[in-house]
Amino acid sequence: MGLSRRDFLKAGAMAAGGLVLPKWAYSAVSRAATSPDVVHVTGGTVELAVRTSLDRLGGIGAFVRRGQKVLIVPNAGFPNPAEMATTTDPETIRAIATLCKEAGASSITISSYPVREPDLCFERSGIADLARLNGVNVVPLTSGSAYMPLRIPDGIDAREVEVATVVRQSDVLIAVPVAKSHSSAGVSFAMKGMMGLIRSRGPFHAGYDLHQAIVDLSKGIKAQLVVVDARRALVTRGPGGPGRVETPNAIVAGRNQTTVDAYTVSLARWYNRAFTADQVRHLRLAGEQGLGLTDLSAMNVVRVTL
Amino acid sequence: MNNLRRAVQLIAFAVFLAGTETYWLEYDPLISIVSLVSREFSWGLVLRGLLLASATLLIGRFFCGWLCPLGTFLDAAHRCGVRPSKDATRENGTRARWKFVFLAFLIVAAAFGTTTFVLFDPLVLFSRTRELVLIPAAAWVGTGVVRAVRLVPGQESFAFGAVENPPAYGFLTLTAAVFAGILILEVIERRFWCRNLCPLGAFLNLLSRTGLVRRSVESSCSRCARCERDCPTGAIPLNDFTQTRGGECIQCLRCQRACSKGTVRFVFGGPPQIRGFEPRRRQVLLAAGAGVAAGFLGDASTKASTRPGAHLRPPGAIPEEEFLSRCIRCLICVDACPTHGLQPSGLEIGWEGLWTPKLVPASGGCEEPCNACTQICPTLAIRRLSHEEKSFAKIGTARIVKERCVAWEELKACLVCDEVCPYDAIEFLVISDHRGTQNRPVVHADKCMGCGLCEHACPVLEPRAIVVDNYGEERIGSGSYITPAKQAARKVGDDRATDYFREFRAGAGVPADSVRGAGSTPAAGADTIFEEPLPPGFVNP
Repeated sequence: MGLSRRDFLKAGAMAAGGLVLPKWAYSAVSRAATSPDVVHVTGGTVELAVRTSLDRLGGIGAFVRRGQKVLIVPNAGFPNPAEMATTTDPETIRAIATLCKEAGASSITISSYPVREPDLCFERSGIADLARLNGVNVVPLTSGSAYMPLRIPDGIDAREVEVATVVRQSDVLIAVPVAKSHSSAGVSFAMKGMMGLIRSRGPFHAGYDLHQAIVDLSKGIKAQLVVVDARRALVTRGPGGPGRVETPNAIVAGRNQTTVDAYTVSLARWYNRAFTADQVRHLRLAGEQGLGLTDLSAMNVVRVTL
Repeated sequence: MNNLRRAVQLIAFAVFLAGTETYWLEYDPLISIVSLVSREFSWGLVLRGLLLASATLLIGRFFCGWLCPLGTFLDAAHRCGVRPSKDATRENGTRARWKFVFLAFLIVAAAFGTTTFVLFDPLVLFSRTRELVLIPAAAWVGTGVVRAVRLVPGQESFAFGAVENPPAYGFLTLTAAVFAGILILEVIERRFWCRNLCPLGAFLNLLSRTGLVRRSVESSCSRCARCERDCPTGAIPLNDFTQTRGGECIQCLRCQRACSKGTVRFVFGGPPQIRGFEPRRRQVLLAAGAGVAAGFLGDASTKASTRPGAHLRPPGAIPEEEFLSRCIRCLICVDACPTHGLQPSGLEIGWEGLWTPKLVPASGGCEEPCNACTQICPTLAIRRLSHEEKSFAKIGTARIVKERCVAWEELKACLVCDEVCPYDAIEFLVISDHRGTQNRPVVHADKCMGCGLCEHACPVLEPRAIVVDNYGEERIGSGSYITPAKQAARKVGDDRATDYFREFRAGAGVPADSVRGAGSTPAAGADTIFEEPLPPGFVNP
């Protein structure tokens, strides 16, 4: 994913537009585009659910063109099995990688900077096994991986971060987070998951206001496609668990990480309570700063039950 | 035959380097002897030590010439030009006695309780150099290569995980210096270490004098002295090239190759050898006396220096005193640690502790699904533990330094200690004080195993805002670490937070002696109605 000046201006214009336009105008614009904001697929096999969600978004071809390099960012933060819902289920990633291959991607890289020892995390979460797929590289990021500076001019707290070079080298960024609670961010989906692509996370907790910094990061790194693995949701003791796992049995897909995250909040009882997206601080800030929709009623949602 | 020897040397060297040094050390007879004299008798040690010892008794000192990785390294150095000048005077006798004196010192010191000097065993020495110097250096070079590859267009994110984070160890310089010293001594005399200093060499020397494979020289010897010149250990006397000094010959066959007439052969049951070098009685007695003194000094130094709280041992380390006598300082465990949290100790617990392993959380924590260091200790100073046992082997307890913690002091949304804790031993509680109401971390000591992942992850750097000390470490020589109490404690935590919020929803009060909900519960009671606190990261609509 390159951040050219044009991309930046485009993003800036869109952000400005989001700030200026009233919400109904924003949703009218997005409704006018035929593609829905969020596709919510319940049930079915994971492969079918992912395929269906992509079909409703216009097919994988709308995101990945022949010969493009795809970077898939799962949550691989912990050396835990997928059943604990602290990491993305490898089967979900496999389904997306398969679609990307069908679309003719020239390379598929699965990368993330885990919280714990990288090799152990990728191995124990089962994500390392995906390297057996033809044409798929699994690359755990560590402090020794290649990074490059990324300036976020419209960032409020985090204005410069070191982003993994593999992001710049890819044409398409696909975020595949697991739905889980987070004991300082509230919830951790695609927006929070972008912290898996940068080197130094210390300042996010100790220096910046974490919630604003997450929003800033989403201004700098935008996934073209977001697929939240909400078949399981870790509703307490996140992000590391072990905590209570609910099974919304859902795949939530969309083009905007804020919008998809906001929708995902409605799928489980986080900390055993019903919260709206506006109650999650980083989502509320993202909505206020025009990164996406946080009001469910303003979203164009397609629900499919398999 | 010399090519065969070289091939065997290279293969043995490669096998040692490839990570099988554990087995080599297990069958090292010097380690067996030191272990036997320093603690209770075990048949296992006797039998394992006997393997090489009996082979040496039967054949001779072939180990030094054919198998020892340090010997192979020195041979290679010789080939590369690290050698004495051609006209250097060849000295015979005096220095060659040193090794026996050192051996006597080492064994007596071990018998009097200080086994530290086994760190001069060549296999241990080479292993330690491998773990602390050679592997990190190789990884460092690999990192440079990776960086260079990243300069190639299209390869900017090139990754080769094995070398991306080269480990850095304390006491690396001293380790490298000892090794470099041995190398530099080659300039004085070929195989200086092996013929003059090596304690294992001295031991094998004594055993090999009955060896049956001996050098035989036919009477047609032309006295060209080539064999004497090529002998790496000075086993051929200057005045009679047909003789061989018992014990000094390492059966490397270089004399056979050097002989211009082909008169040198090695035959089973060859002619008797002449007496090898032997230490004087007075020297041995002196060495024994020094050994007793070293035993006393080592003991006193350890007793006098209090073990600092920050000094953590790896999980499964046996009780400290026994640990110090059993650990041979090979540091294979340090190499095995995937997070590089295991580091060599310096002098902080007395010189007996030098090069023993310790966990330094700032360098890396002890990962929960890992038991690598417990699987390889050649002397069982670290017990063999299953994943399950290891996850219950408590090595210390984490403490939050509240004045340094950004969640306590600055109301920051920092959770990394809780996030990384594999044992769910850190909980965030809503606590109010003069700074405001904030979710702040507390440690449940009954669940904390002291792994140090929290200290490693803490964004507040040296000293960290959460530190692990060895309070509560479990050092047991046998039996299980898994107790019902620990199992119960771990189980409670699995849904402690869930219960926490459920309690609030039911309108149940918080027990008066609990800090839970201190921010919102001035008074506790079943009928008290209070506002449910929001979980961290959430705001009111």
